[in-house]
Amino acid sequence: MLHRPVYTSCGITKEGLSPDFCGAHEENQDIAALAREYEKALRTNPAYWAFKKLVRNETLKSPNATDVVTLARQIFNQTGGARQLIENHVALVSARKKRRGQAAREIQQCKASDPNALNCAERRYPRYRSVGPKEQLAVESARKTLESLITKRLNRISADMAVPLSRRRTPHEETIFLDRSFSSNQEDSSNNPPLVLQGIGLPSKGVRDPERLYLYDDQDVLEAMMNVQMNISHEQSSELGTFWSSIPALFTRGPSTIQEMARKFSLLSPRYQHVGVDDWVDDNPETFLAARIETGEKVLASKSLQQARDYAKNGMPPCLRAQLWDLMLQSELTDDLAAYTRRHCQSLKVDIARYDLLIDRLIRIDARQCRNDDCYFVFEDIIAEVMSYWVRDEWVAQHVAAEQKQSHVMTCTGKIYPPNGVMPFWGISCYALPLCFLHGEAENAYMIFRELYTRFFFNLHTVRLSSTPTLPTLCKTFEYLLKEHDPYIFFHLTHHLGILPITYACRWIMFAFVGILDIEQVLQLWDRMLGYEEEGMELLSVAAAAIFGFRSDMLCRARNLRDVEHAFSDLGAVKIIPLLQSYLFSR
Amino acid sequence: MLSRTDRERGSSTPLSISSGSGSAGSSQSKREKDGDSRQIPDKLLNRPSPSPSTPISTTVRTSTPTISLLPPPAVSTPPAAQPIRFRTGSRNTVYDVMRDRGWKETDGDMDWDFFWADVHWVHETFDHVYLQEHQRINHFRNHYELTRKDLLVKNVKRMIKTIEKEYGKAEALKFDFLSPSYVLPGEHALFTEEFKRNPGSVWIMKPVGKAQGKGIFLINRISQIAGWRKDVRGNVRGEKDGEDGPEAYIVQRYIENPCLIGGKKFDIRIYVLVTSYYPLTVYIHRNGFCRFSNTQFSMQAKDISNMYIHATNVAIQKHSPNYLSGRGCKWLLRNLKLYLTTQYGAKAVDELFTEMEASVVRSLMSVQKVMINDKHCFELYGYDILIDQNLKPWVLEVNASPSLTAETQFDYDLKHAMLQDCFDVVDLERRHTGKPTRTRVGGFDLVYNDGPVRHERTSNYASYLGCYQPIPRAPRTKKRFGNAPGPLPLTPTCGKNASGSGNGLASGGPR
Repeated sequence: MLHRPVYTSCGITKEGLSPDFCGAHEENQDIAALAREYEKALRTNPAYWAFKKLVRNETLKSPNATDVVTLARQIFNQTGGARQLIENHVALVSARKKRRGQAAREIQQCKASDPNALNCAERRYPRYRSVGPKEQLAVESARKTLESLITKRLNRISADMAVPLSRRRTPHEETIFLDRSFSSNQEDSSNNPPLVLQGIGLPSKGVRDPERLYLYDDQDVLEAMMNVQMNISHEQSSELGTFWSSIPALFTRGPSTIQEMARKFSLLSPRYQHVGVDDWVDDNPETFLAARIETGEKVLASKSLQQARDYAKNGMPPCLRAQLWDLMLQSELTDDLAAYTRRHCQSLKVDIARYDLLIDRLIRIDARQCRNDDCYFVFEDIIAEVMSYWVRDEWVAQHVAAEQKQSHVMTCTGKIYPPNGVMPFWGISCYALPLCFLHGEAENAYMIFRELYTRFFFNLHTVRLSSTPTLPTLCKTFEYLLKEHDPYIFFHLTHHLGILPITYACRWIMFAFVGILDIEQVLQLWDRMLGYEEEGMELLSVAAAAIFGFRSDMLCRARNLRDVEHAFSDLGAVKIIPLLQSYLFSR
Repeated sequence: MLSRTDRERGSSTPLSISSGSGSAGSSQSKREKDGDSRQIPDKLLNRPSPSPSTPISTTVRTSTPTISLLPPPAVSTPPAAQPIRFRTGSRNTVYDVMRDRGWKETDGDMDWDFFWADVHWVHETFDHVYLQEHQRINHFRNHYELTRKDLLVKNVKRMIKTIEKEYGKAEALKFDFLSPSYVLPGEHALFTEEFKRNPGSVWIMKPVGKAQGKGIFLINRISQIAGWRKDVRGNVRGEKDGEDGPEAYIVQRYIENPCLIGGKKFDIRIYVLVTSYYPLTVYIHRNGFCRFSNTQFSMQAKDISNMYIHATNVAIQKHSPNYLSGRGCKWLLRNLKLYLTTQYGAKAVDELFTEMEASVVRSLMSVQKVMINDKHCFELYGYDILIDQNLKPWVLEVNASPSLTAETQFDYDLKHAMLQDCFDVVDLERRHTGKPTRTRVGGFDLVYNDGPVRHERTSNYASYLGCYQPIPRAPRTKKRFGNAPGPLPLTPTCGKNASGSGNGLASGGPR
């Protein structure tokens, strides 16, 4: 619908447009009225004016002014032109709307339906089954428990530090603050004591220090997830209870066999050429990469969302990644992303200076953990800036809240707290770390981060039921895969050693492998994930299972926790794409 | 499939070499044969064009193919059963590596097979001892031709003149890898002239013989240097005085637009192994790293005396208020490559790394003539390279004794692996004697062997510098990192800042 008004907007009328446009006369008038309305709405968008200006300039250039209509249409339709821009925007927005609608519908459905109405076959072979109200309730209560824990901790921290949750700075303080934080140098060390713990890696490495200041961490999420089980009686769960699984069965999302995954991610097959594989083993990596870059540039020029996604499935050369990710993810309709970014971040900066939030302090401490990593320490300042934007951005709240039904959102004097509606867990800044390799400036890195966060990462640390994969369903998928491919490992770890494989996999999935794999591998894995959109998150489960399979020898021989830790201690050298391929397609 | 595949692929594929001139033993005779006819540097200077007509099998160019007919050098191997006896004064990573190779330490003066000497010993004793056939040592006699800042400047300037005379201006321009430099006090007049030509320019003053950033300061007015001259008048003598002559300085145009990452300045340390100067045989290790300053870069006048902003030396950064012990500020070259490729594109980055490699080799070519070659010697240099915003590499200085003291476990593993590779190249065990020179040994790639080396698989040559090279876990974990407490290296200009961090942990290790 959205693309129509632009036709009319530049003074061109409807004739000669798509067939439904030139229907009956009265309909025509309706549409014309509608179009005028749309046009009015569009006037707020700078992209509209940019297009208009472009058409005017072109018209002035060409001598025969009568040809305005064709000219405008040409400009509109040219590759990478306004049409593509609008199509991408519509695709992204409608996908989001659909997700939201689906979630709402599902909740409606399960409220209405009788739990016994599920037929037997569906219960035995759950295929994207809808969940019953009891299960919904169980998840809900687990989430509430977690939330109340977070609230309690937040209040305690606030009391301990004697800092209110939110405080407006006086104008004087504001100036001082602006001077300090945004003039390149010397952040005040008096205000934020250096709470970096020596010799400890990123939070994603699973080292826990009792001294750290946090609201909740991966352990808490995992516990919340596993506790859901307690609330469900055994006849409700269609599996053999806890013996064969540590994640409640209600999180089953559908058939999760290796074969199924291989079909779903068939483009990962070694039959196709891949960045991340062929640039290592190919006889002539330079020619391969050059060809790949050439194709990538064509995709970029076309500005087509779908093409970019297809391209991403086979991996991206690093030099095009930043632009292609922007193309795939940026959902705001704007012709000048740079200007939009500047404007948006400027307004956030003002907000940061005006209010002093407790969450700001927590997030600054969190962001500083990257100091301990040999790969990411360089980006300490950038990350701190990115994360402080993120805390303040109500855009995030708008895009997240509708899906999550206000979990983690506390109202404090009528406002959402924190402004982005998300309580940060310990290590949340890990999500943004790899993005620093794409964009040198915090602002650009942030714009891509918020898109990624609302579409992907948000799902990776919340316990809830949704049509898209979330952490619990991903963990469940991992378990299915592990049991299918390496049942002995599962048995050995769970029942001989008493170590749940999920404790490792959950952390890896939750942090989307940041800090676990080498940076280049993380980016390559994410390429594929983005290519497959939300479904792509299942690749995280597959990757986790593949790593268990890869280390199966060591795990089988493991005698204690140390052996298991040792097996996973050098994952930095793993090449993830070939590993995924051998896992999915070698049978 | 996985990294180990690559490791195997990389190290086990002996890229065939069409030359046998690699052995150090034959170098002396070769030098006599060649007289002083210098290797024409053009092959290095012109980066080979990516034309498909380039013969694929080209690997090593030698000026004297006959050399391969010479019999292998006389070998006086120590009895096989006996482990290699080493002597060293250092107790850092080097010591661990040599022990891990199964070598035995000896404290005798001369009864060693290998001596990891410090530069002092080289200066004072090397000339007075006679080395047996099999004995090896880790320095060349007059390495300071390369590693002393003033001598390097002098040698490169001379090289530029020679090249300009013989091959023209375009070729000479390629030797422009040092920022404009003048040796003080000798070239004071020249410098004053140049300074006046560039009003407002910033220059950096470095004492010629000191390392670890000691005595470095920035100036932006000529009066600052006048004041300095007054201070040291009376004890400034000529540049020729060697290391006990007090405080000769070089003044160098400061690179005001360094490439920044995360707003911070960095320089690059790469390890270069020279096993022989005649023929010039150069290996470069893939795992170089970037060293970051801990403070946001700024060119503002008020920051000009703040060395925590401008110097990236670990020895200085250690005292920065933002520095955290237990965390190095080292970033693998591989990360830099990935980052820059994303920002600037693959082609620009390939050019940068190849240019960096070429600068290293050109600097070595500049001193080749004056260096006393010795088959007993090899040398592991630490090159410091700075990149500016136009992605041009500048050689800052060359260290004959790069720091091998580890600050973190990661640092330890990195240096341990690099030294292992280094000893594999030097091959005291004589596992590869008589075999053709290897183009890749662990992380070391042969980049120059009497002519530029090109590897078989590439038609358009790109440096392997910064390519993936796994760092295996070292066989032991380091218990204590860092160095013993010592006095603070204070400079007149950064004293104000340094006094803030009184718990000085100065580096005592060699560099």
